[in-house]
Amino acid sequence: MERNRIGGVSFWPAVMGQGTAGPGAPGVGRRRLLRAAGALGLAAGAAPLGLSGARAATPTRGGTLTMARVADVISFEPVVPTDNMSIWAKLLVFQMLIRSNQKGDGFVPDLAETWEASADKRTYTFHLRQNALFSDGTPVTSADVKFSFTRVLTDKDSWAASLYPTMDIATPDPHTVVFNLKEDWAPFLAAVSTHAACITPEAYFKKMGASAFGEKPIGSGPFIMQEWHKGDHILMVRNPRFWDPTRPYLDQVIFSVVADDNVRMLKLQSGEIDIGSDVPFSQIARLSHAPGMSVQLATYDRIDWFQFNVKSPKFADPKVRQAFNYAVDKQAIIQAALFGYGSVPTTFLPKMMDADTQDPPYAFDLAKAQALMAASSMPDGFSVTCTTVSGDTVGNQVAQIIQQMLLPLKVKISITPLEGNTQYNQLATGKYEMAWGYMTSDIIDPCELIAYAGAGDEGSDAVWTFYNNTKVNALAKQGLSELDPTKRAATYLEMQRIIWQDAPFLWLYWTPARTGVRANVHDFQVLTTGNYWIEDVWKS
Amino acid sequence: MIRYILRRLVMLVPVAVGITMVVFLLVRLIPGDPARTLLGIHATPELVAAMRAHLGLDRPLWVQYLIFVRHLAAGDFGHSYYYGEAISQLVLTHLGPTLVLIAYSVVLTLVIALPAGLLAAVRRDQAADHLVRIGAVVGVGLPSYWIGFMLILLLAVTIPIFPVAGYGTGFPSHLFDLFLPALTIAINLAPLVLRALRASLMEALASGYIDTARAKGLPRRVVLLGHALPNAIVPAVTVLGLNIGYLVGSTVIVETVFAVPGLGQLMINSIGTRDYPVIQAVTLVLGVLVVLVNLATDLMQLLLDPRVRREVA
Repeated sequence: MERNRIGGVSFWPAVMGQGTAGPGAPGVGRRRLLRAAGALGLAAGAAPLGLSGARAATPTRGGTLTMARVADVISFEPVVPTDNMSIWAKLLVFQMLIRSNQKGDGFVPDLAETWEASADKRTYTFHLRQNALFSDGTPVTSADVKFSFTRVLTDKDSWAASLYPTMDIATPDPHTVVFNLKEDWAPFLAAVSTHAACITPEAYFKKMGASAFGEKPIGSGPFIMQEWHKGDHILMVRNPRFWDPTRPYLDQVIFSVVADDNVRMLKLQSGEIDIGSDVPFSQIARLSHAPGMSVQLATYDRIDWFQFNVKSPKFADPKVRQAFNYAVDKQAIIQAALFGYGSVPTTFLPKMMDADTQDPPYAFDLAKAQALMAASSMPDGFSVTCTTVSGDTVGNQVAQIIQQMLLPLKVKISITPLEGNTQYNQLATGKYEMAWGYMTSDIIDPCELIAYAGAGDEGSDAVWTFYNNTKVNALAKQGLSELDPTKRAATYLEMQRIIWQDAPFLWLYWTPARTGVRANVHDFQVLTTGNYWIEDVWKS
Repeated sequence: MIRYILRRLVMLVPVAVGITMVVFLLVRLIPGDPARTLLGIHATPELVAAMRAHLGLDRPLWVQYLIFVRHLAAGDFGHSYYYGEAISQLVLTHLGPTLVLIAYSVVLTLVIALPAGLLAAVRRDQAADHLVRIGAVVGVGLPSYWIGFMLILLLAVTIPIFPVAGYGTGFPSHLFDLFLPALTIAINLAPLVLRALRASLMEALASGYIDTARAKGLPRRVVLLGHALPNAIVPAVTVLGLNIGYLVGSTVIVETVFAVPGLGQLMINSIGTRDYPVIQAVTLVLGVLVVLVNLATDLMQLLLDPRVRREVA
């Protein structure tokens, strides 16, 4: 996952399953998601947002899929890069032991056919597919798995090492990997399914070195990275040695780079590309009616906010922060700036596993907001600078709306748009009073996002709000080792409620992933973690 | 003549040195820290310090500069903070599209400006002249990103002749795909060239030797193209050369709009990520390019105008 396309946060799917696929038919869950997205207040009128073709027909083999995305891949080396473009592309080239399912609530086999955990959850055994081969023909063995995980744990630039408990890895035979954990670790399966833990061939990797491997990767995934024209496009071809002989359907996949939103949508409309990512909110309704294509909205683990620097005397008092949350009408903002394609958050996390979706959001209540301000340490209001990213139309629009909404509190906001990197750096060095921000997830378990945005003692100072609540910190740590899923959910619920009351953020909305897809593309879907299983996609 | 060229090339060196110094300083003055950018959310103070040391950013500025220059003298641009790739490789792969785009834009500029300038000068103060001049004002006034989008809407979406964006694979495809971007730049640039051409053509057409040529009974085309134009073209070419800096700069916008993987796009991306070595390298390359193009413009002058040749010799 990434924040501002720089750096990343990963949070990974719920852990507690053991064994095979998650419950329910993926199709049903998906339709429900879309209907829910529709119910969350579409713009006036019925905008038919379709699935890109129901799986009624039989998939046809062959063809080339062209997908335009906002930026290029940085590297195919699995452990270090944290930008979404690299992550979502490498997942076509490599396999992981297990991966999160399409609904985002469990795990399904990938390289590992089956797995089991010991009763005390300290030993996890994975059984690899016997017929798995890397694209150069060498078999995938447990030694390769051990090598890949060791890199994640020990590489000096590895960001994912903290997701794992202290453990050692044993390889009793070429198709079995055993993890012996030295401590209780609730999110272990989620850690195993983290995209950094892609399985790479040990011999080839050592021969090439990390840098060269990142340019010419070899994996056991459904596609082979064939050509990479930097800044322009990447060509991937079907891996004939993929373990599943029926997949992938496509002969080729091209990821092209089209940074400008309007141009990308125009290319999609004219049929030059098959899939265009990140449809602008303002164009969703129009493009849903465009001939030959549709707009897919998918549940996406993302939350946007304006954050407070609680070290500033203006925001030190939680009553002020709560007042802001009551004074801002989030539903109105969603209608105005997002054209209705969003929902009001009920917790500081995106809508994911163990997220608190039962408590009410901050309702729009101006009287309550004013009462809170009057009782706070800043009853006469104040002036404050709020930084946004220049060029981010939606963010700046929302800032202007909030500027108006906060006037009754005698708060005068002056909006300062800054260049993206500058805004982020000011944020990360605490040189701000109020700033726009967001976070997304790679995986569905909440514990890393909790460490990033909730706990104040995990190195990121709660996304540099400097919010530091000892009870929250304790609950965060507790959740890591709480193996009982019900107790863990309860721990996290208690923690979320405290953070909600303390309101170190002005939470804005949850938004869906928005992808434009041509009508002849079938079975394409964006998962909650933002990636896509292209091996299932076919064209008619 | 050769000495003249050599002398100009030697002058390139202090220019390059100047560019490296200015860019080196400027890029480190803007807020934003490449180490923090690379680390993203994992940027604890310790990790940031370690990364800065790893990138060599903890040394004093003048030491950093000397290291940079030493590598440069050996032909090594260093490695990108962000991509990790050798920058010379990065620059080489992105140089092609930009060079093609620039050359293409110049050709299209001349294709538009020459006939239009000729027409305006010959039909001076008539309808054609007014139309051309209005067209010139409009063309120079429109912002390039707007022109780009309008061209896409018109010639790629409504009447689908050209692709919406991209670069294509293979040279013929490059030429076809780059037509709209090159045209975008040409629409902004041609008015300047054509106005200079028109002005100098009008002056040439009013001079004595043209009367002589006409009196000799030479056909109009020969008078115009064989006598007036060669005398008038030099200022127009000079104007084109002077605006090369603008041309190179406008590739940044045009490459972004049309998704062309050139130096402009590389520049924008590396500024956004504070990839210092890449910013330095690309600025240097673009600066040298501008100087070389200016040199080429002056050489064109030498070629076209015997009077300048005599001066130089």
